[in-house]
Amino acid sequence: MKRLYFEYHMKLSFSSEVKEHRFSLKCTPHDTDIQKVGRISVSVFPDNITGTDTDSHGNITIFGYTKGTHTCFGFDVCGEVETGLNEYENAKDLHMVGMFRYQTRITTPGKEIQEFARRIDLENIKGSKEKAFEIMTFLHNNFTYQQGCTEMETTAEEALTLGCGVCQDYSHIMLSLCRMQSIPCRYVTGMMIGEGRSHAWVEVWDDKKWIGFDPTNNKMVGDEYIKISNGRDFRDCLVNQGIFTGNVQQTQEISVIVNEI
Amino acid sequence: MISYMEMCGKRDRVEDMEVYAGTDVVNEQLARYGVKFGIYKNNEFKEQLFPFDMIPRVIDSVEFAYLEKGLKQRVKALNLFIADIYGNKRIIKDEVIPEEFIYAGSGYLPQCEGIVPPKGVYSHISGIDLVQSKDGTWYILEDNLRIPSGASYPMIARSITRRSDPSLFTGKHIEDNRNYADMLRHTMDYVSCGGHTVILTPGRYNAAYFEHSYLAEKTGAHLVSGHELIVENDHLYFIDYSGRKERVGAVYRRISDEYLDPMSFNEGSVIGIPHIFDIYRKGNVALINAPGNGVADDKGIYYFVPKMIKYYLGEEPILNNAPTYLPFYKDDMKYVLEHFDDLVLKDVAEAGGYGVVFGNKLTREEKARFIAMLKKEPRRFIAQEVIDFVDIEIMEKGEFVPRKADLRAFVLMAEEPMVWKSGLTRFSRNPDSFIVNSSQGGGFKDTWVLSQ
Repeated sequence: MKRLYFEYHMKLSFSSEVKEHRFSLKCTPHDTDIQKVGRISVSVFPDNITGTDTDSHGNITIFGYTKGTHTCFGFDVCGEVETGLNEYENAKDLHMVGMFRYQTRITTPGKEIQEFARRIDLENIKGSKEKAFEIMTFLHNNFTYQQGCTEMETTAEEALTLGCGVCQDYSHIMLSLCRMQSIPCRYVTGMMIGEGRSHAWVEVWDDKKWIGFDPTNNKMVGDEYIKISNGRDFRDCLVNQGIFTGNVQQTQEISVIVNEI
Repeated sequence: MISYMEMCGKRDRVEDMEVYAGTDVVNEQLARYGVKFGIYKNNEFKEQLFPFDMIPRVIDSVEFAYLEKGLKQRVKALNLFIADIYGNKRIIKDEVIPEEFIYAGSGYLPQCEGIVPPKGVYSHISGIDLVQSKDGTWYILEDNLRIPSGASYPMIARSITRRSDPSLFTGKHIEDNRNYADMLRHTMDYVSCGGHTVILTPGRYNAAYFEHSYLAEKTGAHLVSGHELIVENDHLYFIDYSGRKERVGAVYRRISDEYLDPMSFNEGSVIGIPHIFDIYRKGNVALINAPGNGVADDKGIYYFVPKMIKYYLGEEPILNNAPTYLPFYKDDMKYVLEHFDDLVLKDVAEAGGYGVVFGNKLTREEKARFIAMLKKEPRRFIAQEVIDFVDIEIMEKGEFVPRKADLRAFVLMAEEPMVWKSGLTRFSRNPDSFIVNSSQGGGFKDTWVLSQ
């Protein structure tokens, strides 16, 4: 069990003014069986939050609208979270989590993933948790961590073909492989001690539990992790989603700090 | 079964039929009112008239009472099914429907999980397509629970026909079908969260634009496009011509789920309203029909509707599906392979007459290839017995000719389901075709329901 302090800063700069900017943000951790969120402060600039809600996956969503023009948009979130309160999240019954057993556009396996899957020996392994562990280890040992190799919209199949990627790609490939075994599993966006960026990992359903696996680091998710959101793939967990009017170039800066208190 | 010919006494020559004289007048009037549908061909937008045949389809009161009972039952069960799928999923747990028919289809929208729409109504307006076989049995061909169109055509045709020749209606006991607007208005008001009611159209280049504008006029709802609506402070507002904002409580949206809200669905949509889905989730606006209804009306799910009726209502289905087999099940696969030549096979992912294969029309090689595909992906197909539809007479070049026709019945859901005592009868103008889609050049008829 740990008490963690975190800061999450996101800044979007536009090359010229944009207007009618509408946004949905999923950037705040919520209470689960594993973590309890303490004091938390959220500020969005320009200041224009119009509401908050919880989406169909239980993620907190902040949405808003700016009428005027701006060249810069972002948010700062900071707070404290108690982690490691439990080893897993309690999950709903199997018939309620069926949607997580099916591939999405991002995770659908192609030739490369099917070939890769054949190389993982799962025949004598019983139990979803054990299978997922084997998949994680094999993936970790046969995929290279490298930034700049893939993009935001890169699919699992494309990433595996390239042979390298970041936490998002590790997670998508692992989702694809688990779903091929008919194991319900979901994508998680969050933060981790000692990283300068946000992180992503996978939760696998096993006997009414959601168990966290981090294929990027080849380890089980423990009390150094803070979860923000979960969904079928990264598209359900977009930290910032927006539309605006303006023909501009945009650059995004993200910085995440997580310390143990 | 009763035909207009029997009702009026058939004459040998078309010219002697009392409906004959009015045909051109009524069609001219329909053209003047813009009763058209648009189609895109070679990237060009074209509008076509929707040919109207004056000979109505006649359904007697006893027969319609039976249809009405069956349709209400079916729509009730479909609503319970959608609520269950986005809620507790009992029907999956009890293994009445295998989960892959839900989650692997495109109709299921995970964004709708856990949402209960205002008053718990999902399919406010259902268009149920039926055909009658030669032995008089009615079969359900398809359920349309997303944005079924077509009610406006018999509405305006009846209204113009009455004006052009009132004598056609004297002495005949016909249910007045001009009450559709009142039924629709009641349906919209019943779920409204307070404020204006609007009909949201993608614009005049939509195939059904005539219908959008006609229904708005008849129900007194505002006809709006996406840029006239805005979400602010958890509520939806209509911006009027002076820039003033007025609360909107119900949106009869004639744009599909994927374009409804760029923040929750297709982010490229420019005709949708950002954040409308978020306030819908909060219960601050009614969307008619509810997003996510597609989970209940695709071809794979159709097979299960009779099972739903038994499961949710504990009743035997009053109206039957066309006999359908699901190769997903071993016994059905065996039957399909043994009777391949007598069946029509449909790809569940396709729509609009595509992906439909008649077993007996395939060459030996095509058949072998198709069967291999069927065995590889059994979930992708349903197989149906070919129904011999009843023919309906139309007037063509001064003669009576028999043509295939279907019936789209409209069921509106407020406190209870209500069946409109009319419907859209579509016919194929091609004598060899079973395809009655308006985009394929078909025409339509009024549907007379007798009151006694």
